Amino acid sequence: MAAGPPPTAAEAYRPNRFVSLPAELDPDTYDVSPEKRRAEAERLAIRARLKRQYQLQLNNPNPPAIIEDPALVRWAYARTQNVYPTFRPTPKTSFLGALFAIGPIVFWIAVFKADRVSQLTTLNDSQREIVKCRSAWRLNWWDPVAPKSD
Amino acid sequence: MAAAGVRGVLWQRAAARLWAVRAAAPVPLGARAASEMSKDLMPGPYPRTPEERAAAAKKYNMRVEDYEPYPDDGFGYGDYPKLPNKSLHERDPWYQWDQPDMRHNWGEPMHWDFDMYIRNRVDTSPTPVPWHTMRKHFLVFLGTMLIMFGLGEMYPSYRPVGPKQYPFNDLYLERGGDPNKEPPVVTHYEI
Repeated sequence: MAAGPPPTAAEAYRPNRFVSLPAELDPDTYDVSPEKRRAEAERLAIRARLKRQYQLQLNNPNPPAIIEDPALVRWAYARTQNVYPTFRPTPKTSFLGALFAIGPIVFWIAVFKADRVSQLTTLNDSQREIVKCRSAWRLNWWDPVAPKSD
Repeated sequence: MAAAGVRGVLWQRAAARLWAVRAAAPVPLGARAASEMSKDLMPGPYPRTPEERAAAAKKYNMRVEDYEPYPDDGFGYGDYPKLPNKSLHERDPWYQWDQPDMRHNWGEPMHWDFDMYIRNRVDTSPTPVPWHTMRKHFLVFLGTMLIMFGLGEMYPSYRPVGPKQYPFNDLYLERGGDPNKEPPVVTHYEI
């Protein structure tokens, strides 16, 4: 099987969700088709309209007390108040919810139990007395290793 | 007078609306009561019909072709647009933004993770070296160092040592020996 054509610069770079492709390697930069130009023109029109609205409010002789940004209000609303109404229990969300809510609790229960069991099985009688009388979780570093003699 | 009567009526109606909002949803009141935006300008549920998509694109100040909501997996995104995951570092620093520190224009739809992509935090700008190359070099270095340290712990190797030798007859006086008595002679060597 032949090796095939060598990878393009964009393919060699392999952008992922941590880094994006530089514009120089992106074939879209060199695309000058009329569709792309019309899309850019429409985006520019929307941007110009929004900028005009903003500038009119900003340079108003009687400016409002606060120029509210609807995009910011929508962003805050979507992240806080729109999550519960649009949430739906699906297998994926249920699994993730169990994993992140119940998982750590069960994990730490197992860890602490294993630690205590391994501790208590290696104690001599005097140390076990210390732990029991003090109802301590485990023997600490300041507890005497050998039984204290009078 | 009529003005006072109108003001009184408005106050009562505002209070009634606040009461209704409080009874309706246990959410912080200030969030919506402070803004004058109506419900159809706020984010809503996932758009199902093309008309809903067009309306949502218009609401978010986007082109209909550009508007793409998050997939409807029940995660709580609703109809919020899925914008490219690019941080604010990548935006033109020389353009006259309305908000220069956030590199954001008034009314422009904000990324869901906007607060993660600000210029103090996550940076997704292209790197001089591809990311997978950097990751490989780092893991090779880290792996080699860990393996070598592990081997050093399992098979330590150092120059031969003997027990420490103390002067003055093994520090007889410093260890509380009787100064009137003759200390026991200690020799550490053999000739």
